Amino acid sequence: MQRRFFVKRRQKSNNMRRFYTAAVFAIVIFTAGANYPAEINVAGNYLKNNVVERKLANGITVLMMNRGYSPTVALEISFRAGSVDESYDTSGAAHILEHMLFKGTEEFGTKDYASERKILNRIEAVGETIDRLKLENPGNTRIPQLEAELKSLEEQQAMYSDNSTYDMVYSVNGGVGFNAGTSKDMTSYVVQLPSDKLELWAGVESERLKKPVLREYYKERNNVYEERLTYESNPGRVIYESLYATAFTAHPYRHPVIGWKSNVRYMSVHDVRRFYRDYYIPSRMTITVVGKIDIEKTYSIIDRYFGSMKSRPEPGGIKIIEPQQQGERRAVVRMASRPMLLIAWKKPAVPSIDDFTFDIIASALGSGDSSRLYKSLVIDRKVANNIYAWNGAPGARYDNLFGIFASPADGVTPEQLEQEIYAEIKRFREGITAGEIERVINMSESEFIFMLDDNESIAGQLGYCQTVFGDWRYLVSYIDMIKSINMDMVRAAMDKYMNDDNRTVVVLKDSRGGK
Amino acid sequence: MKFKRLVPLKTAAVFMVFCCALLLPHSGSGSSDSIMPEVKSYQLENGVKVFTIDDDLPRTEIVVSISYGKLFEDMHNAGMSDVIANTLLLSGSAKYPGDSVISTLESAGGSISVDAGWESITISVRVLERHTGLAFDIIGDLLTNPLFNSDTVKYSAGYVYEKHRRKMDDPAAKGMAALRSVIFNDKGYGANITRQSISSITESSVREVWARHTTGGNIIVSVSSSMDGESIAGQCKKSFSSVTKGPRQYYAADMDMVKSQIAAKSRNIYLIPADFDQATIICGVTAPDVKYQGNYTIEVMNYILGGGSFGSRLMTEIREKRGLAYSVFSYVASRYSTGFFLCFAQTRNEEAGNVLSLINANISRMYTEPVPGDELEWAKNSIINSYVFTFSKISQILASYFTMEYYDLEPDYYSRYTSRIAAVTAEEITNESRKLFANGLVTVVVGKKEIEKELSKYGNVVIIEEKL
Repeated sequence: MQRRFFVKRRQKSNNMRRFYTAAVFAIVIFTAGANYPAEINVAGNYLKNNVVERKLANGITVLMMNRGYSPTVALEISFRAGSVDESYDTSGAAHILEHMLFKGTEEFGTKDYASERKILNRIEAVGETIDRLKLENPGNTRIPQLEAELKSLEEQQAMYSDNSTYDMVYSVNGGVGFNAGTSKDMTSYVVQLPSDKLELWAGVESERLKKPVLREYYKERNNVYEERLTYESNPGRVIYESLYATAFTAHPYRHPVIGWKSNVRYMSVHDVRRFYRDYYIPSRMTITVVGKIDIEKTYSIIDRYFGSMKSRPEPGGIKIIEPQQQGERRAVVRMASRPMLLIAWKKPAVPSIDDFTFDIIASALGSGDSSRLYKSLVIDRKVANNIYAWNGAPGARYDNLFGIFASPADGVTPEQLEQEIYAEIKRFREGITAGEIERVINMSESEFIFMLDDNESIAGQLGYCQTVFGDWRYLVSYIDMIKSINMDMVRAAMDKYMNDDNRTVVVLKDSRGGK
Repeated sequence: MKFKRLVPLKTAAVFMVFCCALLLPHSGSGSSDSIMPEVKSYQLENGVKVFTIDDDLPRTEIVVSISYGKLFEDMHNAGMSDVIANTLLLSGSAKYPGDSVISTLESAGGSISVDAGWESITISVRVLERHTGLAFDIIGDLLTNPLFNSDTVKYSAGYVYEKHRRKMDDPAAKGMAALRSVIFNDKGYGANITRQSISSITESSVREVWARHTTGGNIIVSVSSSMDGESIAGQCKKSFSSVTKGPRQYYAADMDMVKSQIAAKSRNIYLIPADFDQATIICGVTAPDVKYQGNYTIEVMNYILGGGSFGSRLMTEIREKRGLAYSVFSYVASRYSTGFFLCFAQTRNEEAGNVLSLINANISRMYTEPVPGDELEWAKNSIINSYVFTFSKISQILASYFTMEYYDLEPDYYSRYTSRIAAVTAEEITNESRKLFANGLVTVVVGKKEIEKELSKYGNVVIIEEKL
């Protein structure tokens, strides 16, 4: 249940997205002479002055920040490994692996691993055979017999199993928010604990990552299948899934993080294990600790527990490059839901300056109730019930999308609303003002400072930037970066990318009838 | 500054002493400077209560809570609080008419939200420190000089209705709304928005509700700011002193009548047909109000049953052991004069009956078998040891003061909280569970119509066709 919300936080946090998309450009030249108030650099300096970065000998990056009055700490372990690193056949493996890392080790979660292991091996052999037979011929007469054997084996294995071991250890020690999340770009494991439980956490997590045992695999795969079914009854998720699968024809950003229904149902445990071996490696790993801590003691503990993780070869990036789009793509989804509309254009990711420019465009057009689209189409003309713009989905490690989501007002069709949106975008292109850009900068600055409210959100931002962009300092320079954007750059980016041939449109229509 | 001291806020001192003790570093944390920011509190002459706390970042957040929310509504005016909230934001105030409230704040990088909750409408403004004066000016004018014109009220009513219809496309939200409707007889928790209820909301009814509820005794202001306390106190006085004096108002909830009708309803399973591969199962019942002394026991019981994340019984039995659900939990909420308990699970349609029987069996265990000692200790230690996180952000500290004031809790409510949890026994859990579930639970399932036969093994199935 909670994991779902974690993934959502990554996907939906469009405002915070701005802070993820800082860049590698020289930044000072554009800002010299700008007359912004003193607070403009407070947030960046707050991080710059307080975040301590170290690297373990095996390549793990460690970010630490001592802050706050509360004797608590937020802990996040992130891997640069997400669904974008999967193949067609293994779509969903990163997410299932995340679930399986809650199942314990040779010491955690078992009463007698030596005895349990024999049963686990047989469970895998039977489970893989059932999957293979079902894919070849669902009517194969051996299947019921094997399913009965699997059930019997699972019952035997259950006698050795200690359920929810990690959760029990953390909760009894005051832990909250024990969770994990997988996105297109990364996977994270999080918990918050009283500060004096840091060593307990290091012991548990290092063991968990070094020697995971993928026990109860087929039951957990069923739970993931249930998670997939939940997504399918959520119209918002369905329309976004359709958008990514339509906009990207080759690049793995087209696959849902959770995997396709058929992938989940037949995901091989061997593929999940292979993903772990290939991608859960020190060079792709960041540990972030934010809260009331002693930096040196914290680093010493982390080094002691995580320093022995073995380095493994870097698997490398993906080879697939999304081909140039050569014409508008449209898709229609029908389900029992009020209508929705998604429009998106392809554009470059960080470190392109265009990515920052689209942060400005997204905010000016569709972030906040006084943004162009919301004010015009929801408040003034009342043709939409909701509308917002976003930049940087579905991931940020590779070129991605800028988009607009809208729900039509009662009596307005998605197609009518679509035309209204294009007309407003045209007016924006022709009449953008310096005041609109200044509004975005002011809002970004304010959001940045309010983001620094608690350990968890700071740890999340630092871990994200380090994992996806390779440097948490992107947060420090972000405000200066967007200050470098001017109206000419906005118009140029719109002209270059927001054209018909580069556009994907998905309309969700109500299968129950009506507009 | 001349502010009348608020008598009940003597409790603040008790609270503060307790929290400072709570935030003392645990052994070995290596930190010796854990000092919780101080909360100042006072009451204006008109009865508006104010809580303020220092922030070390250059920012200000003002939260004004007006005691009027969805629990004040019934089937005839459901949606009123949402319409008021939306209209307030769109129609603005005398000094900031129309959407200039929004545009003025957003131009300065600030933000405003107006939300209708169960018991209050909350206006929240966030700005950087340099715009603190603007934030107070806007929120004060909104509170004292709102412009509710008929066009905006009409538009907001339509907007709220459409938003509600969209929300009901989610089977979980639809099931939850139906469950509350059945249990609470379309009133308070059970008051769902309909075309009729929305149509009844007019400019005059909005004005009447607003005038009746925006009185001093009905308003609590919480401010976190990096500005000095004297300046904030001055801003509060300037912005909120013109609020009309008036008493605190409460919603009516005839819980005795609601409870008396549960037994008959709990024999039914209300099935809402929906063409999804997954069924949503929700079982619920009324829970005691916030001042009930047995709530500590109920909280521990709920933690064991389904509130305690992965270690809870429902999670273990339904998800971990059997692979039947991704989302499964129980939840309890206690409010001023009402409360609500529920169990929730989503599973493939063919397993709906099985999961329902597992939920019922685990609920039944809570009042038929004593909780084993190690499980009880796990639950109590988990709640006690994580209590420090209740005050780990300044917004949480302020919220704790708000809660204490809003519910008129005992002065030592927070300071004695952990000892009261520690004192809960297995016998008390059995007894409180027996009382809580004495009349059974109302069950709502959103799923394929074909599962009617399977569900009929567990109760009398009543089909609810789409009417929400």
